[in-house]
Amino acid sequence: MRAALAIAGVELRRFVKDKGNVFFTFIFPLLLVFVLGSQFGGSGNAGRVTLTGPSSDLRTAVAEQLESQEVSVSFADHDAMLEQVARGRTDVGLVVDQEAATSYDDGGTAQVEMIPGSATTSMAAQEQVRVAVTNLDLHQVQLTALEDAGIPGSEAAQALDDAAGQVAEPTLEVVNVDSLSQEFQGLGQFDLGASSQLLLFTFLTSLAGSSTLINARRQGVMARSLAAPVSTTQAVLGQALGRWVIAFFQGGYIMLATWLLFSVDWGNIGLSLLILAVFALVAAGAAMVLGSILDNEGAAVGAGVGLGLVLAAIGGGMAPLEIFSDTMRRVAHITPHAWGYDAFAEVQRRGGTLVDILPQLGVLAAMAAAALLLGAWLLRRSMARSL
Amino acid sequence: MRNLFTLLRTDLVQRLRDKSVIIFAVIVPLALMGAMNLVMGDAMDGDLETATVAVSAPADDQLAQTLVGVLPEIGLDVEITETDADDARARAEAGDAKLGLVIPEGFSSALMAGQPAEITAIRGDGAGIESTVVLSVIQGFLDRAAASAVATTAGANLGLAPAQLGGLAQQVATGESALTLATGEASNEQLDPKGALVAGQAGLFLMFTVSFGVLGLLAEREFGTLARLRSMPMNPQLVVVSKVLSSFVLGVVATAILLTVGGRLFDVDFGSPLPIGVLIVSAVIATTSLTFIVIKLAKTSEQASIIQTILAMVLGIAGGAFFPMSGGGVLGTILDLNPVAAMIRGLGITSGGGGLADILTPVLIMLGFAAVAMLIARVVPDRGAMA
Amino acid sequence: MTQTAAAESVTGHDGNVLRVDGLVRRFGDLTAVDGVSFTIAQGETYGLLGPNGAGKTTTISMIAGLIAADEGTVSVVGEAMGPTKIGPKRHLGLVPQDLAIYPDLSARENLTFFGRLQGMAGAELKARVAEVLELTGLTDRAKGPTKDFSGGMKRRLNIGIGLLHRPTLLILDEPTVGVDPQSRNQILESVENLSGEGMAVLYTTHYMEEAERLCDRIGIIDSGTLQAEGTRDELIRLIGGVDNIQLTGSGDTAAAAEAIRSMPAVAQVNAERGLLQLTVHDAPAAVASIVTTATGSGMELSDVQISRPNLESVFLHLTGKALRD
Repeated sequence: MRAALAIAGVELRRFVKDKGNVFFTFIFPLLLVFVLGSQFGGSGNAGRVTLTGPSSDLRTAVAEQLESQEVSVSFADHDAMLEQVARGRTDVGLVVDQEAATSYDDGGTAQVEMIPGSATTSMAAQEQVRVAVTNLDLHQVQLTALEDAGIPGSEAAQALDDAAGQVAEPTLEVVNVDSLSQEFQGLGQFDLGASSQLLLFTFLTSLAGSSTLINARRQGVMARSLAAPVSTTQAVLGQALGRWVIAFFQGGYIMLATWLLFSVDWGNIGLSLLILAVFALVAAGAAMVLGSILDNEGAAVGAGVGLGLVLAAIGGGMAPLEIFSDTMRRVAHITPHAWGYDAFAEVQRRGGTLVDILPQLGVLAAMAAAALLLGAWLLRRSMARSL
Repeated sequence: MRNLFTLLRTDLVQRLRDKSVIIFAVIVPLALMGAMNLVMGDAMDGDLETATVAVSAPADDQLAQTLVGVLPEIGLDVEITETDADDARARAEAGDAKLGLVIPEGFSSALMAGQPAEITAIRGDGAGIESTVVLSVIQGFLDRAAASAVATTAGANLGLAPAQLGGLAQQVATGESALTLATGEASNEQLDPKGALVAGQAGLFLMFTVSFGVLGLLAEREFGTLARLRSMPMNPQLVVVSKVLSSFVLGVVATAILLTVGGRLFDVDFGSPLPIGVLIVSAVIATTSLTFIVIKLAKTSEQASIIQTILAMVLGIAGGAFFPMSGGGVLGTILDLNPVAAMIRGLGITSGGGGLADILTPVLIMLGFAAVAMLIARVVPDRGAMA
Repeated sequence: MTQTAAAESVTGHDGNVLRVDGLVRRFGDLTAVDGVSFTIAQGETYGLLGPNGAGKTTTISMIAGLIAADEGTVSVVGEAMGPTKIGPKRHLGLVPQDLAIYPDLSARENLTFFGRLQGMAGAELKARVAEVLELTGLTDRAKGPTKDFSGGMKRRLNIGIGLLHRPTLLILDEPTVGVDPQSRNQILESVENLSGEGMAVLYTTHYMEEAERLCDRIGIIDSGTLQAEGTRDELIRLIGGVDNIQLTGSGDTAAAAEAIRSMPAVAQVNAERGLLQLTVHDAPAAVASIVTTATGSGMELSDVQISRPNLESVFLHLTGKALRD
């Protein structure tokens, strides 16, 4: 057992010494969590509209109306606005030119031009603009109507003010039964990204690290450790342990760092660490399999990164499983990532207990056992090759 | 010249025999595109669906019926199902209707009397943009109705006759606003989500692909063949030139394959071939020039490939390889200077029908990047990998 | 010294394929080569004999035009050599000490590639490649990637590439280091054959036996300078035909060394732990008194060896150091 621990210790030391690992293991995952959170975690709004045209009463009125509808309003000159619309940086451009402003000030009608963006997401903003235009200055419409009925202007204004206090405005209550938003309700801005990146990166690093296994075989280090009074089983166990320690170490680091830096809530720490531990076992086994069947380090890194990314994509590492179609969600569960994702979701969002995540842990453990056994067997066979 | 061709040919043969090149250049990006499309394909499909609305509205309620009548006119495909309150709710929850609408009995009279009146809208399971649009229409309608009620109350307070009040209400409810809306057009320079995915992956992995060519210089040193090449009766600079050219060839071919195959697989049209070709060439020049900095900074070939990978991931992700990155102001400008982002932007322009003249800005950005990178590579002290 | 470059024969104005004049090369504070001069005539095998770090490889690098000399000149077949010179490099074949072959390419592809760079083409190239494969005994393994080759096979290919284009001067930089005895013998035989065919050879080594066996003339190099130069016999005569006596033992070897050093018959003493290497005049006559002196000074002898004069003794005499580390 001591020999296995010694081998594992060496693996960990080699891992930490590799400067490239410092970036990929420690800095990069956090970078990604941050980027994901800031891009997608922000609160939504009803759309983005860019207003152009000289500063005028009309422009101000339009801006205020839009903002009251919870639209995000910005200002730019004409060419900049066109570029923003073309590139999708704003949903809709709205031109309030001098002619319209003057016409409006004079009490006449004015025309504004809407430049819609091509993405379908701009539809909502387009509708907001239509509504804003139609309802702009309802006050004026009320005044005009009262005046037409024979009430003088000043009296009409006063009467409207009084009436406004008396009338209860009709309300629209929106209830959201969308399971997606219900699911994500209460999640912090970075929480979702943190758990999926955790799974993505520990697995990826583990797979890419299989190249050290090949390197060791190639450089004869493997043969040397076999020459020591160490049984093949112990050597293999040491390798597996080494891989696991690295994966667990990285995962633990990500959990700690995201908690400290982004206030990510990992729920019950013990359970989260348990999920990580079992997932790391799967990663370790996969790394051993990869490191044993390939002989070329470059190919191992390539295959490792490729496989790691693809598995993560399928398993919910890049987009939440909840937006997958039913079939794809089932397919996703051939990957360990999906099971880890489910387990974390249970613990993070719903405060699940050990019993709740037992099924996921069970599947992960089974995957780990299969991967480790296969990896150990392949590694043993490959050691004969290295001698 | 003949010697250059001989060198180039042998470089390419070796690169292709090294499987990691093909893995990184073509296989992994295509696999990733495939995985992400499989998984998020539906969510990325931009087309708007029918807005199915299940409405429960009292048949004799004038306002309610008006509202129901207004909905199909809004330029979105709206399908109304009239039913009762419980059913409307149920349909929304089941996802059969994107929106459930419950207008209570006595809505109109309550509104007219200035009493509180509430419409309940239930956003269904899987509701998207479509329901957002409908909700904004409803809110606009209610604002109108409220204005009408206030005006009527004011009129009543002022002592207008009931007959006049009716007309007043009508006038406010349907009165034209001072503003009219015209719709203009901006050019479409934006790739749809699938196109952005294909272009982004192509850009990210391009950075890996070109590195293989120039890093081949380090390989020559490791094989010992650099010395032999220097003893050959030819200009020693040709060795470097041939590496640059092989990066170029690999980069252009790989990117062309990725854009063509990716475009075909995901039904994306990137536009006319000539400007696309120019974009690819510019992107390859920009990314190859980066590799020269890497070679100077690295002490060993292993370090070189790590630094290259880091640069590739950072530029690739910041350029939008996995999800669109946008920002305004200074951040936006910095993001724009990234060659991967410039290439994607250029492809957006060509996919919207742009030609050579239209892609001038992104091409200049990429070539400018290359010039700056080469300058930096000149100035950076050599840390010894190439000594 | 000025030589007119025009109208020179293959061997240049003075009949030499290589002329090295006052070569100097520094690396920072270290002067690796400090004024080396020698010539090689057509068809001659010249050996550069010296220990590791003597400056052999640096000298070779300058001769082959891999690096520039800080001072001095190299001319190959009458043409000035330098890193950017193309013409003279056609006359040289280089076999570097570190293997210089592409692992992912086959032996045939390696040969063809370098052959092309040397200016060969078409049927002539193909025929010559086949010839060299035959010569190096690699015809059966011409197709697979060279990374699967054994160490000896790689070395043979390394040499084959060097002589593919029938160079006037073949440079071999320590070609037998780390090679098994059988392959080493094959290499030495090939070199003998080559010089038999009229190729000039520059052969660097720190193995005395190789230098003695192969070379027409030998230059003894140490610490960046050429200590002596000549045929084997000339060199041995240089040190006055001294013999080598080696005393192995324990005890006070330092005292023994001191005592022996003062003996008139003894030319030089090199003392290491438990080992005394002496160059003496007429060893059979002097050995008895030497043994007595040694044991009398407190050394306990376990072995005494007398050897005929060889290059090892020349080296020891000239530099006070052993050839081998």
